[in-house]
Amino acid sequence: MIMTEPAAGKAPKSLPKNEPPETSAPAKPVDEQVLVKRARKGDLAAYDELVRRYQERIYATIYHMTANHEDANDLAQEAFIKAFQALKSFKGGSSFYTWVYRIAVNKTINFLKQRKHRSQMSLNDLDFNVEHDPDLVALISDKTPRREVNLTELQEKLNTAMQKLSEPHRLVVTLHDVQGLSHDEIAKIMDCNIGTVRSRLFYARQQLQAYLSDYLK
Amino acid sequence: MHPDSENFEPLRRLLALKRREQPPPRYFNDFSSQVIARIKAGESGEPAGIAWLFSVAPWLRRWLGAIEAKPVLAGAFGAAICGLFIAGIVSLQEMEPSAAQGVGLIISEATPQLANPALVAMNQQWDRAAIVSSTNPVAPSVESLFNQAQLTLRAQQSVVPVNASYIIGPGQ
Repeated sequence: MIMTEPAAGKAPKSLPKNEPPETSAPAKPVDEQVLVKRARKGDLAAYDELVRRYQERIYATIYHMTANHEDANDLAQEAFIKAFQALKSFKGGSSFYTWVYRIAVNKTINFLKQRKHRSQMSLNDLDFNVEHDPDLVALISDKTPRREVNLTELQEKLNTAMQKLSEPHRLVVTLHDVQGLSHDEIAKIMDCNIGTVRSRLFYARQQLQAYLSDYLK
Repeated sequence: MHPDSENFEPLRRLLALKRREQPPPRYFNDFSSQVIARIKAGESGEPAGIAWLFSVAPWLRRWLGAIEAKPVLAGAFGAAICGLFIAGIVSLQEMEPSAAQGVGLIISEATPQLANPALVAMNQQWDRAAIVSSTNPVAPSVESLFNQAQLTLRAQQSVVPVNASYIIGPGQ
């Protein structure tokens, strides 16, 4: 199971791996706008379905930003709770998905600013299939000068390098290179223009390349 | 300054490793229910732990709701608990003497000499002696060993003062 999927222009209607809730139609997934309308009226079953649709991506974004599972768990839950409480103010100008993302991202950035001096990592395990990923295997065996390095060590180095980036730069790399969001979507989530997204991405990649030069030659 | 103008391909491949980081198994199974439980807790003002308990055991909420709605049910439940408690105490009181008799029977069967009144009396004396020889300093009728030694010495002195020189010896 890969934690994130490349996002298309629009948020997908549903994730196939998520089980449909008891209240939704058995075959066809309920439209997001209908769910939002119902959740706004206080229908928690509808909101439960919305949470199920986006929980993995929201969690993943926060996790890649914090490099800490416990923090990501708390922040993701709080983001969904805050979104529910603020649902009445949701105008529907953007998709619910982008709106929740924005709440989660703002929450995470505020949290990271507060925890400046506490940056202990609590990394999740790599999935079992990683050993069979040809790209990653090739990266270790051929491209990496330090051939003795294993995937777990590489994961740790990568996360350490990510944590050295500023929050906006880390966020752009996370959303684009890890989660596969488009520049346009990132601009909406970060509430900035596409040019800013591009320049931040360029700078962040340069920084990362410098930090990880030993593992990339 | 296009982000793809430089060769970031190896870096992007390395960043793909982040997609392989997985939360604990079945982590997402309970995630939404935890969120909903926290939302409910926020609405009702009850602690998140209680809300979680209710989400795990929904019958508990229904049961408490029923009790709240019908005070007769609460009274009946309270009466049932009291009845059980009283029945427990009564049965315990009935059990205690018979249990004690049973224990006495077992002892007398196992050690028949204890049933002998003389032996019982002797046992009582031993018990008293045990109390006396205990380290309890407040036993009123007991003199200390030091006092006993002094008494013995006084008795010896009163009996053998004349022969004392013989005992000590002429040269000393």
